[in-house]
Amino acid sequence: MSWWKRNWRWLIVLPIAVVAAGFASSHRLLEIYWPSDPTSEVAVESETAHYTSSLTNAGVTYERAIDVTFDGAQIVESVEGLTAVEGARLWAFDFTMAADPEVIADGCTVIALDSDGRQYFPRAATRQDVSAGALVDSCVPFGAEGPTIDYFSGELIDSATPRPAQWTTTSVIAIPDGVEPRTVRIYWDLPRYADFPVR
Amino acid sequence: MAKRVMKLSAAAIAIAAFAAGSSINSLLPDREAVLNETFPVHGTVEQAVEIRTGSVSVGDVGTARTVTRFGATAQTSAVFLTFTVTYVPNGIETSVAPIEVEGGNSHVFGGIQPYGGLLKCGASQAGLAVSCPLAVEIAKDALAGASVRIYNYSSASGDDVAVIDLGISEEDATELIATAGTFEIADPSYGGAKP
Repeated sequence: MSWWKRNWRWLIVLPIAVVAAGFASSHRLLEIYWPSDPTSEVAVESETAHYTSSLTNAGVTYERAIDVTFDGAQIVESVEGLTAVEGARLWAFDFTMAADPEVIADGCTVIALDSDGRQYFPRAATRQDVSAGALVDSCVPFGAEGPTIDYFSGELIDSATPRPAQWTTTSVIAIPDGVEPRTVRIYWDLPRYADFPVR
Repeated sequence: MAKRVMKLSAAAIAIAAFAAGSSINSLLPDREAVLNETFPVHGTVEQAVEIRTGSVSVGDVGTARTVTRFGATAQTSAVFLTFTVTYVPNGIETSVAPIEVEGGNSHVFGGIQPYGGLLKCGASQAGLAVSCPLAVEIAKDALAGASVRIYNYSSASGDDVAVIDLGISEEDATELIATAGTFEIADPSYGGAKP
């Protein structure tokens, strides 16, 4: 009896075992790396991304559903007392957002990317006049943030003024002189993110 | 008979394989050691070294007995090692931290300093240099042979670390201690794609 005939059962089991071994070794990739990186892109249709994601805190999961429209970018001198350091320019990225007033909409992150894919982050390479202004990258209207989570108690706190169904925000990023942003990325909960081209 | 020999051979091979595997396993570092392993990238003063998140260099090495920052003053009976860290991010992280000094006596100095400063440098953007004057309180006998260690902000272990040899000899150390004066920690300065 040939070796192949004697071992045909094991040959059938072998690919299954290889797949099982790969799956068993994939914990860090599936549970740590992919969820903590922008790996799930939200499609942009007609300049608007229908951003959906989940936020879990203290064992409670909240669903986000926010329509994000990128309105444009321009260079500005200063926003709410925030300026770029020497060697950089301050870019303002304008968004219009729409969501049910009961949806948690604070805590977004906006970053810019250049043509080489290098990332530019909010607050870096900036100077803040502490006597001026409010947060300029919170993604929700100041004083009308809508529900936010108290991370100590895990409870939802409503803002003094309800958030309107639609609002505008501006996020600013200092980008070195001579660098043009090609893409602006927004996300609340990784791995979900939306990319908009900067024209 | 032949079958028995084959079975015994298979058992012997299996036992030998287990023994070899166990022996190799005992020589390998454990999981924690692997995760905490750093990858030193060596350099000297004014030399730019590349770590995973960008380029770093150290310059303006000196000493002080008194350090001022935001109008507050800290004095030491030991010595403050003063230097400037310059960091050019590559777009992964905006800052480098922690920054510490490994003395020539092998002791490590860092953490929150008497003047209240954190040993970090940033935040900047890809391609934009940021230079941060820093002062680290160290023992006098640690000055000769000291080096500065600069870590990636996101992973102080298990990643690149720049190790900058300050090139301080015993004679240099004696002179630096004798001439230590006052050092003012200025705000970080930005500009240019140096180093």
